[in-house]
Amino acid sequence: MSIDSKTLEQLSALADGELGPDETRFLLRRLDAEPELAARWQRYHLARACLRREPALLPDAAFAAAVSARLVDQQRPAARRSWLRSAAGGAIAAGVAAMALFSIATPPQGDGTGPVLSSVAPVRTNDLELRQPVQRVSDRVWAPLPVSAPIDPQLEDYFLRHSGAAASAPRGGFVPYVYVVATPASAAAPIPLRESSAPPPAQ
Amino acid sequence: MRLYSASGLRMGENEVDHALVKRVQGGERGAFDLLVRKYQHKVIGIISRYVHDWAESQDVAQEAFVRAYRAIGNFRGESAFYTWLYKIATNTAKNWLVSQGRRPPTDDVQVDDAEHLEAAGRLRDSSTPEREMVRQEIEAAVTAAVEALPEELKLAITLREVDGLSYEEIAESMSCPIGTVRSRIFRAREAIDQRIRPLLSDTEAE
Amino acid sequence: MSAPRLVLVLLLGIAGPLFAQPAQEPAALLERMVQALQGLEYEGTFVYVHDGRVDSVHVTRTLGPNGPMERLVTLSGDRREVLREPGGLRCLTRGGTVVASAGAQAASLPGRLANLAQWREHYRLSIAGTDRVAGYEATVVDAAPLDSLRYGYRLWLDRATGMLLASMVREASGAPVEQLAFTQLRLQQAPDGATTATPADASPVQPTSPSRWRAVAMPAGFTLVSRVPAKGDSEHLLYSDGLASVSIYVEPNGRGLVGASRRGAVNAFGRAADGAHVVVIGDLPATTVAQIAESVGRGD
Repeated sequence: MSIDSKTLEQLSALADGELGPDETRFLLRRLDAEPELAARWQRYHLARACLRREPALLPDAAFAAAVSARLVDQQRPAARRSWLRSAAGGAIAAGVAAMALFSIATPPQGDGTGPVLSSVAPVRTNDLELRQPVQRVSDRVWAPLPVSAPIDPQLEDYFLRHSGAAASAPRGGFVPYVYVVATPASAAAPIPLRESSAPPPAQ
Repeated sequence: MRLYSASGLRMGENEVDHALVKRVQGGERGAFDLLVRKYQHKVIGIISRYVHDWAESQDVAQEAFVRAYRAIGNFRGESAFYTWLYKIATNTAKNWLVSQGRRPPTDDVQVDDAEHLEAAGRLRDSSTPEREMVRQEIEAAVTAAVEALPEELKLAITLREVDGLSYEEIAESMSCPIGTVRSRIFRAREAIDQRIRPLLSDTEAE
Repeated sequence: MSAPRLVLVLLLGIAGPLFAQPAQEPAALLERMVQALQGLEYEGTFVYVHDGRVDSVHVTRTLGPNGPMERLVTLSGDRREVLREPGGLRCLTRGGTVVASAGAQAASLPGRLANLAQWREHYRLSIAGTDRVAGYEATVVDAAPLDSLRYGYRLWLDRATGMLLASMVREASGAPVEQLAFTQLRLQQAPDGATTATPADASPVQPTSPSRWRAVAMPAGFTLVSRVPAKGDSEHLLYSDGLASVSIYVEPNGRGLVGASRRGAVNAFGRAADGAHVVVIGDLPATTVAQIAESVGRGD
């Protein structure tokens, strides 16, 4: 969980050269156990560079870790290590997404207790089928992604404002914003409306 | 009175660097990590003046830090650490340019590396404008965060980061104890950090 | 203080947080979820399954003295990003192009939509079991709708903090509409002095001046919770039944969406009405959203 603010205040003072030697020793000992301290130190100095209008450039997120890794083992070929690292991260994320797709889009085998996101007992077989028919899993995973619906600025605006308002709803926090970033449903999937002019329900 | 070193850094910061260097010389690699994280933005800034390709500038910057680490035993503290690091960074960049002139860029590509390199190339092509955008967003966020600070926090962080005053000098000019200055600067930093943290966390999180 | 008493005090001090049973009443769990979503800092990646596709999204939320800041970035498909800062709300696409933006007021409505009583009137709450999501132990809460006008929700809540770890939105029949699940998540307590915008007051607000617009077919249980400030003669009315929320936009000289549009569980429907353009957006079934939109008209 979070680092106490006393420690962070010491880190801030260290960045200014205003921390005593004993406190400095103590703080540096904590660095290994608390990666967040080093990350904050990095951001404190980035903010400083911005405030001083220094010609600084943003490195890859994993830059410092890549240097650190090269110091541990200098024999290893080092070229583009940071890029391979981030590319691998992307591959993992894509793998997770593909697995999730597989879990949900494939009807479970046998007794219906296959690997699904929701392993809670009461999930029934038809829970696992998406409402919209999907292509075969292999097609979905490897086919090029469908072209998303063209952006309608006014509709985007409505979605955004609705999310801002609904952020304080019970299912609030980050959840309403999901609908802003989510790929819009393809225009090719019209919603069948049963009776758009149905009589108002009883109040 | 303000004490500036030759490189324009305040003495206090320079002392931090020297203290960290001593620890590195004593075998604490973690202290070197702090120096990397402190100066990586500036070192990449320097190197990108020589090396225009983003991914290559990252590699050359890594190489500069590795060289600095190997040579750190020779650093005696006569100059500011940043001045010393700056020289290593520019030399590394120049050496790299020379080596590029002698060698075609694709000569050491192994067959099984080709796929990775291709992927890296795609990332490289697409990443630079977004990085520039993030950089601008961060600058805007820092400015907005400082603007939104209560007056006494805004003054404290500005006197510290922009004017380079020591805590003692700030305490004097704001007529408050040094402990209060330390706490105000910390609170200001945290408010800025809250705004920039989401902008930096991304797919490449470690 | 004698030694045995000291030991007892120490034991109680330790035992309290360790062995305190988390609230097991579903409504209390939902309330904890509301608190956690607003009051924690978090950073993680989730998959979002909707409309026959999967999106992978990275989310960061931080808290500071001027309120929360949130950023969501898609890791799959087209790059889309939403950024909520104390000063406003923006949606961006690749290269930083701003698709939509809204001012500070839209981004900082005080939390006041949670209403325990409404949950019980229109949903049957129950505990469906336990599970594990992104390495966290979860209690699974079901909120099944009592009519077919709204969706049901299955919510995976972290046992320790109440944080929402996964969710499934379903039609009243049980058919899933969308699913969201964290694959990686880091949680942090709010730092000292942070403004969390935790819902303090659960009672709906009375707007200062009533709107001239009415939705006659608003399903039972939906109350007007806010009249969001909007430009000129435009109106933005926000209704909630305690779990779902729906916005009604009225633009006197507007044009735009005609018919239906959807993103996951959120449906939109637009039409012209009484010389204005009406758009309704909410996490309700498409038919309900269309019904509401069709019934909007001047109330005077």
